[in-house]
Amino acid sequence: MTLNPTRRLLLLVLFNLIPGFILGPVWAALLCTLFLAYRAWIEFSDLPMPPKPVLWVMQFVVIASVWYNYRTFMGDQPAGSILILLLGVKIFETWIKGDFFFSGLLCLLVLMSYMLNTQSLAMTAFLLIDVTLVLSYFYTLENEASAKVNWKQILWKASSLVLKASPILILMFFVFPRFSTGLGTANSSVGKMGISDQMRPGAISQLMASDELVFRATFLKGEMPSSNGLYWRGAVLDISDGLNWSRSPGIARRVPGRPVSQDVEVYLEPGFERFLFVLDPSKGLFFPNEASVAGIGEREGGIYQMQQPMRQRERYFIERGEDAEEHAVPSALFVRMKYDASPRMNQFLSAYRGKAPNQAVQQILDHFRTGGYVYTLQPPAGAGIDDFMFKNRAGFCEHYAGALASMLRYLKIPARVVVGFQGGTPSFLENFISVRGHDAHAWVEYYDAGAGRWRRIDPTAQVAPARLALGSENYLNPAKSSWMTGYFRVRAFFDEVDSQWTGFLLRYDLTQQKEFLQRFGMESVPYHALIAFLILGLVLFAAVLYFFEARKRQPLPWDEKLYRRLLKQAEGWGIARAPGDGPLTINAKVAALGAHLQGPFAEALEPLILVRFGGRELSKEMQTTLRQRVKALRKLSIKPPVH
Amino acid sequence: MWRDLERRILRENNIFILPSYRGFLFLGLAMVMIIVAATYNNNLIFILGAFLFSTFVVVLLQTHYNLKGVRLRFVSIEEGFEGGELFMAFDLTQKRARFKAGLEVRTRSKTWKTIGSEKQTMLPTEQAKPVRISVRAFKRGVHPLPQVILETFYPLGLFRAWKIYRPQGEVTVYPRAEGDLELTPQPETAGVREEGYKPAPEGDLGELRGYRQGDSFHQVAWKHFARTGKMHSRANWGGEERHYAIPWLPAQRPQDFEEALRQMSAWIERAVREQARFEMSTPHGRIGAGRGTDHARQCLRALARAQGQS
Repeated sequence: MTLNPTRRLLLLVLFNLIPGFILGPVWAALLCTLFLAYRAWIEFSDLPMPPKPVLWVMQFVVIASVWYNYRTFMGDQPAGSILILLLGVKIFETWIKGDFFFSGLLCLLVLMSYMLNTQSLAMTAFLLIDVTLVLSYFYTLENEASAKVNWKQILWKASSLVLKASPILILMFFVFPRFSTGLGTANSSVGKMGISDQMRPGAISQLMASDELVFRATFLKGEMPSSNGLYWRGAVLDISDGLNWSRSPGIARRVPGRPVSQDVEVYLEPGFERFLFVLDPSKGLFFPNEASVAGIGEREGGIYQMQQPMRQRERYFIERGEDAEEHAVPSALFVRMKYDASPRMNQFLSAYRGKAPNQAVQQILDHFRTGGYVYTLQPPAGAGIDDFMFKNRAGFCEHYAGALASMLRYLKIPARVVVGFQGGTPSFLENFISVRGHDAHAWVEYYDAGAGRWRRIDPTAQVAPARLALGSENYLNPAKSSWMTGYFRVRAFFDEVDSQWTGFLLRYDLTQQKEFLQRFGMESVPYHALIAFLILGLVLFAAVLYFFEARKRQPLPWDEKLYRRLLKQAEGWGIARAPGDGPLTINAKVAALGAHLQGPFAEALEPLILVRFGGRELSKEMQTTLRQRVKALRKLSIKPPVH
Repeated sequence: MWRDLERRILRENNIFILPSYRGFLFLGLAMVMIIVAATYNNNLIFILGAFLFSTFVVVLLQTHYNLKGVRLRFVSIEEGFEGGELFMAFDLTQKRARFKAGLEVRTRSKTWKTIGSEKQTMLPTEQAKPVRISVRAFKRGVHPLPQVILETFYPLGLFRAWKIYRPQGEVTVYPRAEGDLELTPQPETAGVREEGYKPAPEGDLGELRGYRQGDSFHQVAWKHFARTGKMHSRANWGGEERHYAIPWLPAQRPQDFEEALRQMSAWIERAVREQARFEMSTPHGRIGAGRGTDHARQCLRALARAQGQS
């Protein structure tokens, strides 16, 4: 099928909408697809373009829908949506080559809007493919005749263009001075579900149903603990209402800008609420992005919280080890309960009253293990702690953590609930782990007055020890676990590659650029020197590329080569070739020089004429003979032989 | 002085290159992306912006190289009527065996508007390629040949590379054949034959004369050509002969100088169409009686050169 510029543009726009369906805004991608379908219908049914009022209605729909969704036209989300929809409207106004070209540029702008959401490896791959396709499209616009001939050739041309552009790209990436416009944004979350500062039965289980990547961690120093020893702290909840827990306002301290020992490197995906997850136990956290560190506060319980959810992937380092501040005696807040215990609860707890905290905790844990409790994400109805403890005896981490911490408080043992993640999926590489939504978890910390410190206990581990060992995904889907484990590991491997790439992209800022240049002996390079270096590099590269372009020989058919050699030989004998002189004319001119030249010349020329103009094919042997005949002409002298 | 300076700066066969309108848009987009990348501290957007910029640089080289080694040689130009099409013939040549695409020839003039030109591709096997363009003849007269541009936007249309050529020579543009004044044939010349022509019946060789340029193809004795391979025309073709004496009309209507020339041009065209003999008066003397397109051309050239109020 021959694709005219409109059909090619429709395909290109459709391709550009793919990330929109994955990353959002889905509604904008859907609306644009609707416009696209209408345009395709016009194109394939050979209908006239819609009249101006229809286009005005479409433009109104674009404006109204963006306003309806965002109540503003400012910000990258509304701007991204506007770009997608503008692309959908622009395809109705393609009359001249410039319109098609402009639509291609709009595709690139839409691509840019996606990259505000993610800088993942997949997006990088999409960028490469999309840029190649857009360049191919521009190529077909400029060379309409060849566009109908060979798509493979066009794609090859665009790809080779991309390849040739790569050295300049690399040079620019490393050397182009990083600057800031000072217009940095702090946009709202992209609305992903995450760990919050409240825990109600059901909240975490929703998160556990998600397969979305939350963060990835690389253990730079020391061994990575086994999966069931990995507790990633998010929020510490200190206000209890039985099974429901929340957090007191508290005061956040500013995170010191000091670098810590970089034991664990974490890449946190954007949009997951406001917590920076740290390994339990951890001494400190270091956030290298100077622009973002101001918005991070450290709170009691070793919690790091941002003022706003992140809008792009960020990197931070964790120093492992005990935090000295966690040894302070907890306040009365940690034994306070909103409601008194029920008579039944009091009766149950009476067996543990008066015992040492460690002993009481251990006995309650034993009760969970032996009391017929089960782990399930679909517990029977019943919101209260009594229902859970004495009637249903079924629940998941939120129920167990909430109930245990509340019971400890009834026993006047300071306790709190920690929500975060537990475990993760290790990759082929030993020191790397990816943590997803289904790893969400809640556990308990109580204050061991004897040791003068908080201790972590996980009641879920008593009820379902395999949940910790296998991870929730495998635990909840045991039938799949045998072959799914391999899949998870492969996925984790790609996660790591993605993480490395994204990390590289995130890391390379002005500081890194300076460090990089210092490696080449360029200490404290001023901006203008960098620019000069860049221009020099560009000129050098251009010269090299041009040189190779000029040297690149186009293959000539053997008969053409021989014919040109013959012409050169004739020139050597002083025969000027006028434009339009054919082989017979040349032959006649050679004949004028004498029979001693004309004979051998004609012997070489005549078979060539048959090949070039008569469609005759010559055997390899004959080709060789002809070459020898042409070569032999060099030895002939223009003067006739004297007999 | 300006012309001289321009000739020295814009030398023939030098390659000039500038971004096209689309190129400026493309470069602008790359710049916008780099600024957005700096604003959002987003390296992937920086990569996209840098990618576009790098492509821009590579395309600059490719467009320049596409014109390198290609030369344009002026071959001929046809004379024509004012407002009509004139065909210019060129040869595109290249010394090295290279693939060159998207080559277009057009005039570099606001008055000589190119109305027909096609993009040319040269294959490595092609050392020369004939190219024909048509231009609109804008004004009667004898004009120096327009400057010509060989340009390319290959491969992406982001740059326009061009070479300037200044073919030497002149082109004659006849007055447009226009006017409805009647011209009566001279009665006394009707039926007069030219010397050496035999008024014999058709069918024999004796009725023929040698073919002359400008003879109608209908006049050519094709059967004779098929037999002998020699071109002859039928001597008495056209039946009744007419003779027109075209007066120098501007002398009668000096206020409508150009219209008068156009009327004369129309009379000449009519005489040729009718295969009539015609003669024409000019301020410098009389152009004797003759027939056919060669004779018409002689008269039309005189009209093209005519000087007076316009």
